[in-house]
Amino acid sequence: MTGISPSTFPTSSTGGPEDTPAPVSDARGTTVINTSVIAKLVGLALRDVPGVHALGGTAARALGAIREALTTTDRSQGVSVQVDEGQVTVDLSIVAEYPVPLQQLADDARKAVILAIETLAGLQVPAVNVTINDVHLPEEPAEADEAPVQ
Amino acid sequence: MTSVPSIDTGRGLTQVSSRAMTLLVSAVAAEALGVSPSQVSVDLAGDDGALDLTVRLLLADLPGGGDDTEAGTDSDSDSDDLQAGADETRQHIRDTVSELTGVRITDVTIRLTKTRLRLPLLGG
Repeated sequence: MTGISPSTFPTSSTGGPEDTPAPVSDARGTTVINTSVIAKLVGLALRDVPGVHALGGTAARALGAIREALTTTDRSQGVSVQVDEGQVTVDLSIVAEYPVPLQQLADDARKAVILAIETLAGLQVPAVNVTINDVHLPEEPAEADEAPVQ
Repeated sequence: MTSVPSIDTGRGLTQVSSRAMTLLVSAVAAEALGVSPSQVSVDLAGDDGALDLTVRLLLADLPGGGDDTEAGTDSDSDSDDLQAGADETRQHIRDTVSELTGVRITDVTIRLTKTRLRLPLLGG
């Protein structure tokens, strides 16, 4: 039987996808899944959600662009994972495609994340908090050169 | 800046940032008014789970609005045309924004201006 051992779980949560382990114990050993792995699972699961243009805020995406230029990709960009007592809470920061309904997008992202973590990592996910931090407009210019109308 | 009300789904919160809401409203209003999103400015206000929207755009940017020199002579007919469809346009913006964001929109105000102020670019 595979079960979660609360006694070996960290009691404090992490502020991001650091390597705080999420151990799962059975009679013949302990499986430790680092939160960075869970964050990467989340990032991969979100790739298939329609309407997700990108993950992360402006600064995170700028760093991501630099990483891509260096041929490495951070799959956990825009994903924060907290593990507490065998349960995983996820915070997502998403750039949505216009005109996708944002609540539907958030629901789809939430379902994909819960499915990925519960299926692949065997951990429970009580909450996935989704922040739509930006909307990508197809015809949006790279840099706005018009001042706002007042 | 006014924060957009978050929605508790039972398995987590869904929050739409002010930036995302502003961009989305700009796009919806621009489509309704026949201009580009960059020609529209949006203010968000309100609380208690609902928002008021104010959409601003230059009169001359409206289709058929003409340039600044023509705006004076054509403004009466333009205003009449706009007034005729104003309620429908505001209703369209309210319904579409509510549908796309899940946030209740209590009021939509469309302000037409004749001058464009160029403000210094702010960070963030």
